Amino acid sequence: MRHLPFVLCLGVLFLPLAGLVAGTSPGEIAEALGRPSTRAAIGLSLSTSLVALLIVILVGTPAAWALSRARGATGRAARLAFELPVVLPPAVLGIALLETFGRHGLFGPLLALGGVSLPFTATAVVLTQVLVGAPLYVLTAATAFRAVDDDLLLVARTLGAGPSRAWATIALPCAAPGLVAAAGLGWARALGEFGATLLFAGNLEGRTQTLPLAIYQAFEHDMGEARAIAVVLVVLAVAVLGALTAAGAGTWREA
Amino acid sequence: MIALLVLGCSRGPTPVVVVAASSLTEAFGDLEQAFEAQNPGVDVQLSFAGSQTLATQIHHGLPADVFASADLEHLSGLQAEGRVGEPRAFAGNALVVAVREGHEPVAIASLPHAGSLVVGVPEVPVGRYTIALLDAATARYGDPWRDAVERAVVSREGNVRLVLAKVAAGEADAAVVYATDAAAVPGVVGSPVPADLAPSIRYHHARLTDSPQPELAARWLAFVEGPEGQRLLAARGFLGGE
Repeated sequence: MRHLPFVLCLGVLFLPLAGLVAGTSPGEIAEALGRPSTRAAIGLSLSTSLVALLIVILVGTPAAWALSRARGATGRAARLAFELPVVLPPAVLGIALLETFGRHGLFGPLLALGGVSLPFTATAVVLTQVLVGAPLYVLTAATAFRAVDDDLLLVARTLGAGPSRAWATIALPCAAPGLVAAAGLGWARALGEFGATLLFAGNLEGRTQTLPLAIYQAFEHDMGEARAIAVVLVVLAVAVLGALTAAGAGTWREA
Repeated sequence: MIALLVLGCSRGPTPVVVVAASSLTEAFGDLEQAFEAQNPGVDVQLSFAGSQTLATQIHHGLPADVFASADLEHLSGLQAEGRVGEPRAFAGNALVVAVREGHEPVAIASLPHAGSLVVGVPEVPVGRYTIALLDAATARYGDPWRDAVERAVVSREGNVRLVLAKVAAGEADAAVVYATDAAAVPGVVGSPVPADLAPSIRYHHARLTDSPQPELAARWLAFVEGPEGQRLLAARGFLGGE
């Protein structure tokens, strides 16, 4: 009886997924995987989202540390600044990106001087993914960093470690499981990005058509194809989540 | 409970739901006003999207009274599964190459040199018509021309208004759209394509078989095909349906 809410919650979460998988035949999946357009979308989704994740981790980890140590009004304002993009609808983000980095946007003319045009490129896809993934990563990673005991760092410093060495050998391993979870969240959000990508990066097979965009286009003429690509996306997400969970468990033991 | 809701609603104006191809946005807005003026107590509710999007939604049970598509194919598919009645032609259109106002107009021959190009996805009627146009032009200008055109394509969009929006916003240089869209959307101009390369574009409409308002739906279809409807369509640049 105690487990009923848990079972109900799990049921609600998994029912649509079960429906999706049950309604898709292996033949449909094989057919979808045989299509060059699907393979291009898989390759593009994986490469762009992993590049985005790398950028998010490199830039977001120091930012998350700073956020975790920020106190008072500054800290609250900083947290709010990272929370805002999370609550923004993708359509808003897409328009904002065009108005900022589009040809006629704020920095468009400046970029054009350097011969750079961002809309309709894979770079635009990555930029969008970074913008949706980074806030989730930073907020979650900051929570993990907040649990790191300042005294431990202090002890490391008294034993002669410099600030960056103390951080790398104490704070980073202590927060590692949380950071891995944060990376998983940020990556998943990047992989699933749809609305802002459609507006800012457009939809071109092999260049900007990620898996969510491929599903949307297939849905309008071939439900079987859309179903099959959706299952492929689920499998990819589960695989990466599984790998990250395993990595997280590994860091947990080391810590 | 449902009966109460229906009764409650029936005191207001009677709704008739018309779902239509994006390119009909302004023209059907005009027709809605004229139809409602002629039929007091009737509220025409319009919804626009790519014809393939609407066809998919109707296939999945979208409740509506009339479907107006930018082609015959999407209606034929629905007719075969018994979702709509006999489709009838009610308007025609032409393709143009649209550029931003003040930019050099683009002829078909120089399409590869127009910069970045946006077209419709192959599933949306405007995208299929564009492919027909390019196929015909390839026979004249050759395969290298076609390859260059395909390389210039930066995005394929789900309906004609999204195609045009990329040019109107200045993010892309040229787009293949309907003549009526280039005329309806501010800030863009269209150059006609040669008549001998242009595909035949015929808009069709039909009543949904489970239309909640079959009589009003039939009256709307007749109105669109009638002299007043045809006059309003022509005023927005649409050609006759014959």
